Amino acid sequence: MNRLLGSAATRFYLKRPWQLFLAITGISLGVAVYVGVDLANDSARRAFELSASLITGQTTHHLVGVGGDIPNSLYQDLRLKHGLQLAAPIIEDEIRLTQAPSREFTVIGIDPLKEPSFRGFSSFVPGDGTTLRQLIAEPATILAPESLMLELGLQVGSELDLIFENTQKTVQIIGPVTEISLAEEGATTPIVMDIATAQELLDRKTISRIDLILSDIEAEKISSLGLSGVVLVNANDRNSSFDELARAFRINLTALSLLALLVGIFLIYATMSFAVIQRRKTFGVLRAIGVSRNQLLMGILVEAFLIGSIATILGLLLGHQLAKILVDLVLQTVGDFYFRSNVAAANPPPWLYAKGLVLGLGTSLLAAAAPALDAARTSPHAAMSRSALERSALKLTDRAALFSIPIMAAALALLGLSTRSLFVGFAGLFFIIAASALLVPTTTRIFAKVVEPIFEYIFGIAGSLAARGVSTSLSRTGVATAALSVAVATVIGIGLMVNSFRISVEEWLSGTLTADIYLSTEADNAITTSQIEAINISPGVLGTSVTRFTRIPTEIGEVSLRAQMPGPQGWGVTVNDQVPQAIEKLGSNQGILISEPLAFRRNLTPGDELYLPTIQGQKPFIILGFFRDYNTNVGTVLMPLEMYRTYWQDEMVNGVGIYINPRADRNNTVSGIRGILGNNSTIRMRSNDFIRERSLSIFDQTFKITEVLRILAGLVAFLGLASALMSIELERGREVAVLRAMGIAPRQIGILTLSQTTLLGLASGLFAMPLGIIMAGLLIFVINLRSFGWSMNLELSSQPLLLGLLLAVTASILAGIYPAMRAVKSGVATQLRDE
Amino acid sequence: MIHVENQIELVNIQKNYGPHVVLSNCDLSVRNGEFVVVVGRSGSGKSTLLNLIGGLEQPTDGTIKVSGNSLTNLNEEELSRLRRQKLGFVFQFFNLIPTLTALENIRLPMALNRINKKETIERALSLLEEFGLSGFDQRFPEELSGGEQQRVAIARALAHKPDIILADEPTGNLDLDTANEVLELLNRTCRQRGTTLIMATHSKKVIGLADRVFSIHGSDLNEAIM
Amino acid sequence: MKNILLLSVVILMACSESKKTISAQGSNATQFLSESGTDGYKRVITQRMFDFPADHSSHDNYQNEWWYFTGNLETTEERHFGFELTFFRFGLDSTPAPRQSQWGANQVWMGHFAVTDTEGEKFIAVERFSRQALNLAGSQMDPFRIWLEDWSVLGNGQNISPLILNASSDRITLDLTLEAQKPPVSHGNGGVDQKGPEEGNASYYYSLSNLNATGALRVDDTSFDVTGLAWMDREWGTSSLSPDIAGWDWFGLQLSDGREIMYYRLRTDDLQSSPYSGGSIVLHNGGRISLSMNDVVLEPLEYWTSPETSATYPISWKMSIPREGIELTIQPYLNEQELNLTVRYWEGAVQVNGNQAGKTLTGNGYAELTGY
Repeated sequence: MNRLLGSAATRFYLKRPWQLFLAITGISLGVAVYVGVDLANDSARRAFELSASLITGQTTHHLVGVGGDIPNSLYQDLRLKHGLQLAAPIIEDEIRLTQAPSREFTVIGIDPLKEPSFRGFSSFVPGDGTTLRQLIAEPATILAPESLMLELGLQVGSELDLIFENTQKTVQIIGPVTEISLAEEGATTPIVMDIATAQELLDRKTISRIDLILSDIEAEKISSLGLSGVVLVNANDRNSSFDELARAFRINLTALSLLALLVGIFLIYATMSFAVIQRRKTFGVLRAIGVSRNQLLMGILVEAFLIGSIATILGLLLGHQLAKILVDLVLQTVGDFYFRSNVAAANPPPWLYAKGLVLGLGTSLLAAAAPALDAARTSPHAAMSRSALERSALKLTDRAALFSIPIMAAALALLGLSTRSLFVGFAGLFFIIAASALLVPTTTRIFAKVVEPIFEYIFGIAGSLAARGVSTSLSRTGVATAALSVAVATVIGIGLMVNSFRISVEEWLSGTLTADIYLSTEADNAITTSQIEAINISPGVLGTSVTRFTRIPTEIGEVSLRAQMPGPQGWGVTVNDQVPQAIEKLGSNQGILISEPLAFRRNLTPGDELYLPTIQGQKPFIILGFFRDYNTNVGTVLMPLEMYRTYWQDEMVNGVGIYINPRADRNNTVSGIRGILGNNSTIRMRSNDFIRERSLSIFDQTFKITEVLRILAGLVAFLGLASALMSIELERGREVAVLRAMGIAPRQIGILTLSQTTLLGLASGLFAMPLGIIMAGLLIFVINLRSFGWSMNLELSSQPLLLGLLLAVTASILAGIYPAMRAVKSGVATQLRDE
Repeated sequence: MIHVENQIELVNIQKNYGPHVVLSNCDLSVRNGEFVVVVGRSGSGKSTLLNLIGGLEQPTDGTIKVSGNSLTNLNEEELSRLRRQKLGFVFQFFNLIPTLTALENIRLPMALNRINKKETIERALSLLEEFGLSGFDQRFPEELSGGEQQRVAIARALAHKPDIILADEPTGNLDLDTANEVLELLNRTCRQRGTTLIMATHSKKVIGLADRVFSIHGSDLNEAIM
Repeated sequence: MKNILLLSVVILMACSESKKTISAQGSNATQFLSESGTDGYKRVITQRMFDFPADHSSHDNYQNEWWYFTGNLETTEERHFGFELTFFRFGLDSTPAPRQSQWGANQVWMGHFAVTDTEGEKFIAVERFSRQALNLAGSQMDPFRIWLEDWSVLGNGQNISPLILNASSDRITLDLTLEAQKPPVSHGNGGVDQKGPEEGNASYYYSLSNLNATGALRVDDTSFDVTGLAWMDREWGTSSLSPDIAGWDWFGLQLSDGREIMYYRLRTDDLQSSPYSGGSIVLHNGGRISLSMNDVVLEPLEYWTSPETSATYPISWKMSIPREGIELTIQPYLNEQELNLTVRYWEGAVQVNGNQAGKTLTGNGYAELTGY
């Protein structure tokens, strides 16, 4: 770059330090918001994955039993008869500790000799061989997570009392489960013991499952062995069924980081391109005095690179800080609800920062290159002309609006594809937003034209000038407005989606929780048939629904089975109304109902047959219809209890819904039921309200972070936009001075500046409303549906819409305040003299 | 006999920029409809004098009366109203609002004075016609030549029928022929309307047209004897 | 010899962690197999008249025990292969607690299985571990059988011979029948092979040094019918290691004249031979000449550095037994015969050339190099 050109650029910024400040602020914020959200998203994702992989490790498949556990002999056969090498027996259960009775802990029983290939178990076990020898040879020895030992003040050698199904057993800690490598990654650690010890402590003769590492061919071979009583399940299926709500949470974060990317791009673009555009005249002069196109272009790019670098580095630092706050929030949610112990903050991988770097620098250069190329291409005279610039900006906005049509069409085509691909869904969403963003400058101009007479009427000529200014300064405001619109639409869209989701969950809970009191138990045979009969005739009781919940492995993955004898108010399901008489047919044992997620995921339709592993082997069941289910599993099959008992020969009951006569004394009724149940602490009795509130509070907690993220992203975008608008307003000093000389009072100048930015904010905010609704619709009808198979209604609650508008208008008003104040105070004479 | 008050009355004006004295002990009285020229070298304080009269700057010391108003006693609002109603500015660099058309630029001061829209358009169009710019109404400033721009600027300065036009080097940015045309135009239109014209210039050419000529030398303002 | 191999692991881990002499996976598994819990186990102190076939089976009152098969094989087209199949048993507790669970175990087994394909320049080695529970691993006497999941050695005959070896893994399979040509030979002093000055730092050690092998092996997708000569080593005991031993070089050589030589050199930290080094020459008739440290001179001729672990092994040797007038050169069939498993060592097929008092000697064998 020519030395003098460099000095010219440097002095431009030295003379206008606030310009430099705002340029750097805008770019930094763009990078920060993107990096922050992305890092938080990544942390959450890895926390989930790691917690799951801690339990499953490198496992590709699981062998799980049809009726629950599997016998030892099956493992024996796999090894001795089938020569399967990468197989590890696992016992997994939840226990409580007398030292911390309120929480449940996962215990995992393993064969340490088979673990190295699976979970890198050897790294769990502390250094000396004695520990491993003891673990296998000595009964009642365990390895305890370091964090747990720290929390309870335990040492190696300490005793610990485990409570399992009301029995207490004392074990000895012979070593810590080393968490160094794991804690870094933000996961939780189970209590580890030898598989023999696990059988003895958990009082069983069977194992929970066999973990396998198989190639596809081997997996097929295993399937073809026809092992009875077990099903081969893909570990990924199982992992994902691990917690679907967790995925919901992650999907939302992904959507957010996608939008953060868009907002970031717009923000940086707006900032950097303005920094170049405002010197068009200077560039024209430079061209006129013989600076070549390439020299000019190079000069601008070097400048953009320098500013972009500084700002991007600041942005990365800021994003890192932002991420810390967000990650804490994310992990708190994750830790509170998905895993029982603490989840630590993860060290983000460097490539996430690299992405931020590319975004910041790349967009800065691109943003500078476009106007620079334009300036270099046009004739020196035209380059100096502001009206030429505005006219070409006008043309550009028209072209952008035109260009948005094919993009919109592409988006609609993508969304219209009968694919279930989530990626395509996100692509469609992205295109719709991009197309809408391209429309923003044009709609803003039209909006300004429409409101000009109104503004003129209210604010006089200042108002009119403000409205006119909006459309005549599109070169400077267009991209900034688009950014604001997208940011606000995001805030609105995600808000609407979460609201709609919540309302649907509430409705679903009402439809599902029809009984007044629910009994549940995890213990076998805790609730007896005679007790149920006694409850049925107990005073104040109208009737009961009886349910057997179990999980059964199928070839399409593990599913929940809900076998039910309906109560006086029916089945407690909200049936998708496509299929008539589904409920009646269910009542007459003609088939089963399946949950929407199961239907969606497995592409099942009413009339299809679903094969389930019964004790008589695989049997087909006719699917009568779907019901809504926002539960956290892959899918649920609902069948009459009678049918279940015929095929599975299982008389167990683990859920009873009790309907109470509204006129009866509830307390008396409840104490009557308690009397029947006796003092059995394995049976939990919970009211309808309790379950509802608990469910909703889990829901709220899950989305609290989304809420916080949404507001935060909005705020940062808002700050960035405020800075972009501010720099634009500040650049109009001379124009303001002329107006002042013509007798416009300072107050009016203030009004003019403020009303102009407000108008932009209002235009973006209003435009963002329908866009936000569209976004919510896509999230609900495309993204959520494709992710989970959940159907829900779009509820247009006013709160997110108004919040969005408020955000846009506040951002623009705040953006106008400082320039307005400056315009009021600035010396007119000085501004006029400057040239 | 009717006492004719001076339209502009500067008494004992002192103006410093920091330690730098630009004007000192300046007295100036201008009557209604007069054409007064202030000459001096670049940077001699001509613009400052005009800015003081226009209320764009405040004197360090002394009093300024414009149309009976003592400027030092007015607040920003009142000064703005005075400028809006009584004054018109013509600048060396034209200073048209680049985002407004020629017509809109001319309409602007009328609109500021809440003259109804229809009238502003009529008056602006007739001014354009009078200034030989018919058909240029929808052009943006940059689509006009320098002379044309300055003619629009003069039209804008006259549009709201001010008492006084303050012209700061209005020809400084124009070639000789165009400069003469613009001067001629200013002189003629102001005299026709009885508008007071105060023009700062370093061109001696104007002197022949003016009623009175002042020159700034050092920090002193003196009436030149013709 | 494997006893010491395992014992030395502890030392190696302690002093050269940064060198990663032990692969990370399962390193602890081996540690416990050797290091601790010797209390209460019987020790090898007195001489023993081996009692066959009973002594072929396991001796659970001693902590460690192993069955160790190596051999050189070839196809009818004289394509050469080497194999190693070993079973190690480790006792965990001399007074085991009663267990309710079928998984409860007091013995742990480790197996190593390796094939050298000289022409194909492939060396493939795998290992596995299992507890002795649920019939997953163990040993029995009548008929003789040791097994580690689906790897097994089955003895059919009166005095275990013929032995049937079966082992299979992803890339290699071995099915061999071994017939003993000579009776078992006891090493050391009446079967007691002393490994250090401490009482009980010894093992019972005998070999079947000349086993005729016939059968098949598979390397990747190709199977070969093979014949050849194999060797079985048997040791058990309860020892802890002398702290100054860094490793050893073991040779089991089968000479063309029908004699076999077994010799091991224990190396101290300062690269000296320990006085407890020793071996045997097994004569045609099964008779034995004992070899002590002073009888044998070993001199490395050539070194090879493993590209995988960067360890450098002396892979060619000159072995002199001046007392017998024997001079031998020992060279590997393939340089790359390093087992980078839980325990890392070099064990491979070697060929022997030399002479005894001017008479040419040839042969095959196996060498085991540890502590490098």
